[in-house]
Amino acid sequence: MEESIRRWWSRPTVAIGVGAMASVLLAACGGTNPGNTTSASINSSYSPAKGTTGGQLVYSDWEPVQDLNVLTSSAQTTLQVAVGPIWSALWGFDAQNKPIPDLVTDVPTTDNGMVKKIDDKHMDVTIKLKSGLKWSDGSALTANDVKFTVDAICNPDVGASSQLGFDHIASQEVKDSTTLIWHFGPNKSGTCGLSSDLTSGIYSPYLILGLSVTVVPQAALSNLAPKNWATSDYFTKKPTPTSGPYMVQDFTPGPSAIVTLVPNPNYAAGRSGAKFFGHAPYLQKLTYKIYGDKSSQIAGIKSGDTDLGLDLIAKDLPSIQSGWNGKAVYANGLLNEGIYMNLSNNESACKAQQYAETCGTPTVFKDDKLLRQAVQLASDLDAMNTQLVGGIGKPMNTFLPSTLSPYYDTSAPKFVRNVTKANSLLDQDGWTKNADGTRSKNGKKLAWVISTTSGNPQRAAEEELLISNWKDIGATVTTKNWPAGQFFDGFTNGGINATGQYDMSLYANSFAPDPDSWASLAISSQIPTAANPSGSNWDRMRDPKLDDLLTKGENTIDINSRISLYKQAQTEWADYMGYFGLYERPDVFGVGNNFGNFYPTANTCVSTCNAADWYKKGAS
Amino acid sequence: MVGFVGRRLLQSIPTLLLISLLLFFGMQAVPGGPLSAFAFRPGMSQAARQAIIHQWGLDQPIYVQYLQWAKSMVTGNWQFSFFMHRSVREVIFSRLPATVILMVTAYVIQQVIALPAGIIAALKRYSFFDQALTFFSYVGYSMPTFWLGLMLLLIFAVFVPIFPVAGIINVRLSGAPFLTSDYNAWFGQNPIAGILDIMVHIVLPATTIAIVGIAGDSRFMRSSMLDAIHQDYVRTARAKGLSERVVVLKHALRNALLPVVTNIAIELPLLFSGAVVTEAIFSWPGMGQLFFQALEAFDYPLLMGILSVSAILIVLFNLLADIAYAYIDPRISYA
Amino acid sequence: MLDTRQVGGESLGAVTAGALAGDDVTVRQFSFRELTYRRFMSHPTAKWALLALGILIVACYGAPLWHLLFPNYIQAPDQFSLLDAGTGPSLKHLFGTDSYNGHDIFSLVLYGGRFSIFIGIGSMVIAAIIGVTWGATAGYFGHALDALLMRITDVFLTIPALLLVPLAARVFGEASPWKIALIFGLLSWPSISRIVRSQFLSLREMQFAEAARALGVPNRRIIFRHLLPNAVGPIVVAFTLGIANNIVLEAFVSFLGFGIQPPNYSWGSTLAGAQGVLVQGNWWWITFPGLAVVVTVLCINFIGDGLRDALDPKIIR
Repeated sequence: MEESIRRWWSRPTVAIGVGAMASVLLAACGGTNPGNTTSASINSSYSPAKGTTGGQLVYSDWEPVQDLNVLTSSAQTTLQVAVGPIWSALWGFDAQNKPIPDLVTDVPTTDNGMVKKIDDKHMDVTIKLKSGLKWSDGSALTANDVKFTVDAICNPDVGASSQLGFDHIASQEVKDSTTLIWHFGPNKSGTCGLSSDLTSGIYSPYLILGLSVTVVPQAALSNLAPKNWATSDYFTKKPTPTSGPYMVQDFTPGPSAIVTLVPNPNYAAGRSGAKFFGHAPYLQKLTYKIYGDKSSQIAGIKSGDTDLGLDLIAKDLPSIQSGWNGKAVYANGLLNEGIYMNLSNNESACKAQQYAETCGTPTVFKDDKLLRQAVQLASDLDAMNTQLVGGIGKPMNTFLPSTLSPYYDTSAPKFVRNVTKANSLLDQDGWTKNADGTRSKNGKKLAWVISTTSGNPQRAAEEELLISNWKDIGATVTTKNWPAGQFFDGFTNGGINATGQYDMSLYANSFAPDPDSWASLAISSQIPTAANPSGSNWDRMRDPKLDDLLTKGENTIDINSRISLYKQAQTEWADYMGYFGLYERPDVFGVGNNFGNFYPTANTCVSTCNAADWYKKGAS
Repeated sequence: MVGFVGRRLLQSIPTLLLISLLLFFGMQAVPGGPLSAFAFRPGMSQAARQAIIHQWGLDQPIYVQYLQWAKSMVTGNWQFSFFMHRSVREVIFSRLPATVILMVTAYVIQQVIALPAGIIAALKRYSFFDQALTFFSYVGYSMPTFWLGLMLLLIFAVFVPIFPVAGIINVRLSGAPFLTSDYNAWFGQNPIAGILDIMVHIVLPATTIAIVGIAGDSRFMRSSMLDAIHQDYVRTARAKGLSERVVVLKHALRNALLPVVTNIAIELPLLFSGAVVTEAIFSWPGMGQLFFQALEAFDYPLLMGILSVSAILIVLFNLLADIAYAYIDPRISYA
Repeated sequence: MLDTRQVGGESLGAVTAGALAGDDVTVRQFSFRELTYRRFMSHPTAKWALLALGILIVACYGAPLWHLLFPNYIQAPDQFSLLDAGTGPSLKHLFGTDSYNGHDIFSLVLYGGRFSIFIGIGSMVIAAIIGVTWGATAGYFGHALDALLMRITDVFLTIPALLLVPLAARVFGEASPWKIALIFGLLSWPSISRIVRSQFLSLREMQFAEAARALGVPNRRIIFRHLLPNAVGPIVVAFTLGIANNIVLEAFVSFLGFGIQPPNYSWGSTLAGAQGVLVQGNWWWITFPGLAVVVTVLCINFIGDGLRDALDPKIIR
């Protein structure tokens, strides 16, 4: 299931906000008004309970863990133990996607002067580490380690899962043992994976970089060739030293992997008095256990074999809830299932032409905005949510998820299915109704093919539901599904979406906690071609207004201006209608009664960023 | 005999070579190939991608890749798995025991039930028991193994939850996953608890495989026994006035068992297929489960390793079968 | 999971049958056929199995018609009742519904049967064409050609089809029933070719074959007109059992998601989403499509058994 997502971020985004808390959070961000100061709109309200020391907790997943490589792995199961428990990041994110400082004293913003715009092409971001931080072996954790980690992320031999954003850093300057300055500026092609020259280093979504810098120790790794890191003992067996609250005592990889974690004796060094994570880890022992299959994981949750079960979905809710006294909580986040329409030509027969845009046959959606709007209006997002997502997904109102504060437009109208309006749009658009209920325009039938990942019953059911929805507006829709690898593959490898060999696709994207994460899906310069194979505007969206708004959004550092830009972008996107979200995919967790401070921080935190605060209720 | 074995071994080399060539080049035809694993990381740069392609040796000409693979199969550690960061040999050998335990257990259950059932059915031909067994074997033989497994799960793990749903051991009991050093140490101290734990877990998957096997084997035993009873020497033994018990046990049964015993080699592929299917249903951490995981990730070296090992095993067992036949059946001469 | 043991065991008997017929080809051919028919019909279960299979095939292939006649009870695969999703057997949904969109399982079993049966038969037709040609060539010409062809056959017999099918399915891309049938056919021919070869090895030594050769009859004619009719018994039996075998294999492969995909349904793909919700006790979703496979395969096995007995007078029952 997890392999059916296109990940926009090195850390697969999972979820945000515990179910019961979701409405509270919404109310809170609903109150955000543009008049707020910059820092107020990104201040985290995360406030864990004070824990008691001692005891053991077990948390679990069902998919295999092969290694502990925090830099290269895109497997959620690896990140769930690597990010948070074993390695600390510069900062994490809370349920509202607001940063929580971890290794740093403060999250850099323009307000606190740690982000400075030099000119139109340059900016500086200061990373200020807490002073006195130590690795688990007692050696000092310094700004040099941070610099080393960023260099590693940019080194192709390391194979980091994402270099997004780091390619804007022109140089790093170590001021002293706790201070590092990232000089953002123009970069040449080839630097940190850039495929073309970068003319401006201004990078307003810089906040998303903090969680990717899970600092690795220079002393332990610098004498090892980067290409050997993936098979080194440090990343595959027993990482020592580490920076997180827990350290690995024992790790067995595979489909029934087990990671035994014990407290890091030096974790509290330099942290005392900090607002977040300012204490030694509470637990005596923390075990991360892989069950190999979901049924036994659920059985494990219900029997008390595990205190917390991660990585469950809406379909599992009934199985968990029956006859169990723990809590099934769920959270919606930055993982969005959506419909992607090809706005250019279907390139199915254009391999020889290297999928040039001039080749292929135009899809029905090309240059037909009214049709695209009608398609969205006719889709029954509510029925999909209640029937296929257990009623806990969130039908989407704009292209941004409702939890992406402060950017989500809370005043956007709630989506309501309206077949009458959809039909009248089509009438107006020249799609005339035939006797058999289908529609045609200029002798061309209203028909298209929908594609998704094959072998996935959930997606197949979604397709069927939508096809029957669209029958109501006279559309004849058939399916053609592909193995996930082929479906999501890159342009050079002939990937179905990347090369445009489709009419309409159905899949989920997992986004970083910043609206800029959506930009590359829509900006016209990102349309993939032989010259720009890594372009990710697979829908071939081409809207000058949207181009302008999204580009400005990336280059504007001031948060209030950004909020206003992205609100306009949401309105424009809804009108242009290239991609539309179906629902915010919920993540489901089974939480035992004695698990303290489980906080499914969403997004890139995979719910484990706050592992330092986990404690066992009733332990003495 | 030695010459025969040697010749057969030599003959199997081209077969195995042909298999490996077919598989290796066949896999190149899979769209996307192992690189499609990176499809899920759009944030990864082309340069990083190139670095990995180079690390995996995928930038070499195909024939060079093949030769390197063949060399490592013969002399090395069967190459490195792309996604498990360990040598394929290590991965496969860590999974083989679970499959072997499952196959052996299933086979034992199968024979313990099928042989007596077949013998009784033959001796009491057309009795109620015989008819019932015939009916059972037809139905059992017609059942898809995976569906039978699902039905057993439904009945004995969901409706009447007396057996675990999946896995080979209860990790909570041992504190460590199967065959890790911690597990082995624990097993050394608590052998009885350890064996009982595996037994509880193996009941459903082994039964699944065995039921289908019993269906075939009991009928084979029955016809073999019927054959034996009608032989001249049995009639002679009866005519000599030996008791029916002696006739049946000493003369007929002994001869009837011979083909049944040699049958094991022919049954191996069936048993292996059964194990592959069952492992997929019961999350049994063996070769079958490994295969489907490797297929999902498209881990070339691992797929090649698994397929090669199963091919070698089957070739070996076919050879064993031939030797066994030659050994017990004097009519066959392999001079 | 074709039982090579049984098929192999019977081939000896069938050779004898061919030899008997060999004395006078034309006359005996007719009486042999008649004899076969009588023996088959006198088999205690085969004729009933044939009848049951016939009904099943009509029921499945008539599904679109039943849908027109009883639209409230038989739904097309693209129809579903969202509100009834995940409910057990009732008068409206005889076999209950699935837990996703609320497909009527009974309708899916009927519609799905079309693809399952098609793949079973289609794949074996392909397998028979390849297998007979291959085996006959090897057996008739013998020597080096035989050794070469049989070595290639060995290759296919050495790796379980179970492992090759999902692999092949990935090469072929999106799986239509035709493609699946083709893949299965390409992997099922070796067992047939082996049977044909062993038949031909002995048949070509028979007097009538030698006579034909002496008269200068072309090899192709000898193979197809003189030898093949005498080897037809074991081929038919293997063909029948192969159908059963491939129906089961298809069910497994589609169940795993490598075979038939929605919106097309086969018995296996109907089961695809079922294991995930097994713990909820939706027994009907698993039970009924599986039973359809069992009943069909049982019938085919009975028919195969009847054919075996009918084509081989020497068998001990």
